[in-house]
Amino acid sequence: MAEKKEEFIKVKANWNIPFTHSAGKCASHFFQEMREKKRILGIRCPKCQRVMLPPRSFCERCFVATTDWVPVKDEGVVESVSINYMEYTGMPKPPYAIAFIRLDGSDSNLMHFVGGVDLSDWKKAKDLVKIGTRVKAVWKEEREGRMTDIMYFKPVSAK
Amino acid sequence: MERIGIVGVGMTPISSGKKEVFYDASFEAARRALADARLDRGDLDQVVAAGYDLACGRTITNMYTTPAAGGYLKDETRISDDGMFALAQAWMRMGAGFATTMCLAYGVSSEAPMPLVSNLMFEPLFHRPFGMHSGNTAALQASVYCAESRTKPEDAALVVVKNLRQGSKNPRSRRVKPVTAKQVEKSPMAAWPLRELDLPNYSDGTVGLILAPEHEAKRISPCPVWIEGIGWSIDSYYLGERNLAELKSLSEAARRAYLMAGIKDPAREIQVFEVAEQSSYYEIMAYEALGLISPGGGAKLIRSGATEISGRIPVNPSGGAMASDPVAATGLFRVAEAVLQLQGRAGKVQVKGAQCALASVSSGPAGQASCVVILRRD
Amino acid sequence: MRRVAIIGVGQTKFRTRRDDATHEELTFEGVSRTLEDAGLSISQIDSFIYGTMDPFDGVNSPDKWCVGGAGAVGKPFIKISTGGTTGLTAGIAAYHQVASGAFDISMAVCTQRVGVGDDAQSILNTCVCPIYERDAGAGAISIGAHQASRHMFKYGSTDYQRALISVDAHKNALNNPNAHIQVDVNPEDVLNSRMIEWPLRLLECCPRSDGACAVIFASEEAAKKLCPHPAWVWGEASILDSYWWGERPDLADWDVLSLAGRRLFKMAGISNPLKEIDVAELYAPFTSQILLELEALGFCGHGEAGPLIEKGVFKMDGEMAVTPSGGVLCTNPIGATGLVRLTEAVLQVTGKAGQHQVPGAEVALAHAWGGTMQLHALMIVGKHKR
Ligand SMILES: [Zn+2]
Repeated sequence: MAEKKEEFIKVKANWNIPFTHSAGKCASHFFQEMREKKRILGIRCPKCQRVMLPPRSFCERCFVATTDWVPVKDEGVVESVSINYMEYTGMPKPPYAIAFIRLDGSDSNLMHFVGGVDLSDWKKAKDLVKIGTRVKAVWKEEREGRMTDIMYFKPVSAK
Repeated sequence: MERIGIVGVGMTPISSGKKEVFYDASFEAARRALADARLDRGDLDQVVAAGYDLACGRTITNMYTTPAAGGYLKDETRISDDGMFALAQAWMRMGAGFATTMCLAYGVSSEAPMPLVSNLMFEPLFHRPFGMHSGNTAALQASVYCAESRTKPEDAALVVVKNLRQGSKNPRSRRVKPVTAKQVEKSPMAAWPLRELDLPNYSDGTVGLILAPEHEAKRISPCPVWIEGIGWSIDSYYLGERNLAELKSLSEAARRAYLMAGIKDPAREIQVFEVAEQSSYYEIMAYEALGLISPGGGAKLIRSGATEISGRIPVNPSGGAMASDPVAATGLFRVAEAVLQLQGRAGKVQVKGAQCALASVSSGPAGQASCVVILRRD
Repeated sequence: MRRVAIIGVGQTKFRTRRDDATHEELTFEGVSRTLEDAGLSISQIDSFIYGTMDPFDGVNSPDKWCVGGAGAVGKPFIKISTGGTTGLTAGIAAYHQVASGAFDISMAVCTQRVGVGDDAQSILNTCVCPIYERDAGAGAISIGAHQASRHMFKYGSTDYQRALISVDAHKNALNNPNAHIQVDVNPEDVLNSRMIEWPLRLLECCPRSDGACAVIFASEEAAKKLCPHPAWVWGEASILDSYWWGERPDLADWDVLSLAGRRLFKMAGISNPLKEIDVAELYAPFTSQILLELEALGFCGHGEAGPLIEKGVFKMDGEMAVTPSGGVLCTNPIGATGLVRLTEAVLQVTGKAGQHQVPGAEVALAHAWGGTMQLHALMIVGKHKR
């Protein structure tokens, strides 16, 4: 008599926990400026003078509070890039390109999408969004005060 | 092993949250602790952080808090539990050679529903489907304890009255109003036999402590507070296999801490107790687990007034977790309050002439894991 | 500070899913193998460190559940969670418990079930700051992809060089019975595999694995009585960088790893890493990271790793063997992975690595990174006392 195959039961579960994250004083101001004025503000460390993006309430290197808001341009240069072709639960639909962008007037690189170009074939896309590409923010019409108020950064050379 | 001293204390105000980000709070607590010790970030050799990821809705929360605690480019580690366990690990890291240390715990309860967060501490197979969480687990424990010891709701209400009265006097606690025993007994039933007021007050708050080895501590602080004994232990996860009427991990942690500190009669040798109480009944059970009275006698102690601030063994003069419970930092806040007591800096909740203090915490369902620390001043 | 030995290591076989066991049972399996290796009973362990990355298992603080599986009921027990470094920081924590004199025998235990989550990438995305960065959909692969693109741009490393890294790792894994992915691949297979996140292809990315691992640390006194041929801990280091990737001076250079490496080598008395270290168990879930790690740790100059890989310098029979176990590219139970690196380093210097033994290995390095390429942990173990 053939032995019965052992059965291993699997129990489905998922974490569906709603979170309400506090943006805090610093990011709140930053987001308000984006929402109302389509303006990107960096914050300067009073000690090392770095203009930080995204802005934070303190400089971890100098360990002092940051206070001076500094407008930076919504245009800058791609410093590093990856282009995504896999789909994952709860994540943006591929293809999408994530870049670190050094906005003019900032001393650190901001994470955002690079878009407005055809990313469907990586062989072509890697030359459209490569390191060194100049990009400019494409703002949403309806803004709610979060990073996605900018849809993506678009290569300046792209039509 | 060289003695380790606490030479700086920094606490954020404890609040209902929803305004600030926890890493900004970490920066604030760390800055206050450094200022208290008259040190700066450059003096730190390492950072040991504590906190829970799920409560913050972010994975690896120390990515944000440790830089805010002064850890940029420094050696560090992070304990995923209450800050008192981080204090234990920091103490051992210092025994292995690290010098000035920042030990910091961030308690965040305001960003997600805490009962749901604690429900997820139960595995999905055997316990989670029954809606278990920290509140109703504490209730389960209280009901077993009451049946065994004949402790009454009136006794537990006395703990609430005592701790909220102290909390209302302590500016470092979350703003609470004193209550009467009647108010406790009339507050909504949360999970029988626990009423809403029998349970801790979920809060946000961050605390940083600066530690230094003895040869440095004496130069940094005019009154270092020494870690004389520390012990921790864990009990089984399976509630069905535990005697819920006793806090076994707490008594084992205390046994280890007393042994190290050479304490034989805690009720006589220790003048202040800061006990992170998971419920009003838990505090009464802790009297027994900590050896302040024999098993079953906890209620007698609260009734006698011995654990009031004016009594012979004051417990939770700060107001304890009943007043403010920044989950994951609650234990380290108890240590901070005990340090202020020993340094004579506790203000309106000062216990006169305290030389030796005990702080304790439990984490996990029904006090599964516990840590106890014994502190002394010279 | 006391000298510390490692007197027992053990790991489960790693797989995509282990439907025959719960998290707790998997812990028991890993711990049992380690006790067997050490010839100890659980009652001889004084203290426990438990490492895991909570969200992957879908349980908040699974350590509380797994106390029994670890054999720690009634004992001192501390939970460590530091991201990808968790396994190694757990090992370091157990090391500190013994080095300080607080305990004579301490065990680090790590269990992780990455396979439980229906989608590990969406969990990894929760590492990313929800205020500023989470919407960009970045996860762990993004880190490896950005490092790769930047390294290609700055140093001219090539897709082919990264493909060779994948080939070597897969060949090594074939000799390691505990490795998860065991397939023989050639450079063309790697280059023709599916583009995941440009420039990384499927065979340049790690799997998600279930399994457990445990390591026993002992004081010199205790080791003398219990273990004739232990491994000796020569040094350790951990370091934290800024969370913000945008603040790294250059993603092609892992400068914070260089800093930690210098601290480690000072403690361990290493002056020429390539000559003095025989085996490096590096934490590289993505091919590109082997390049950055070899360069950051001073095994070669910046931009030199690619050409040296083409020359075979880091193969099993090369000047220094890199991940003879097959490494993270073939096995990644995230919160346990760092402890697996240490376990493999110990197997090499104690001559117990079997089919993937590097002949004559006496000094081995274990590494792990975590967070947004933000955290590193390192340990060096030797056959002899230092
Ligand atoms: Zn600065």
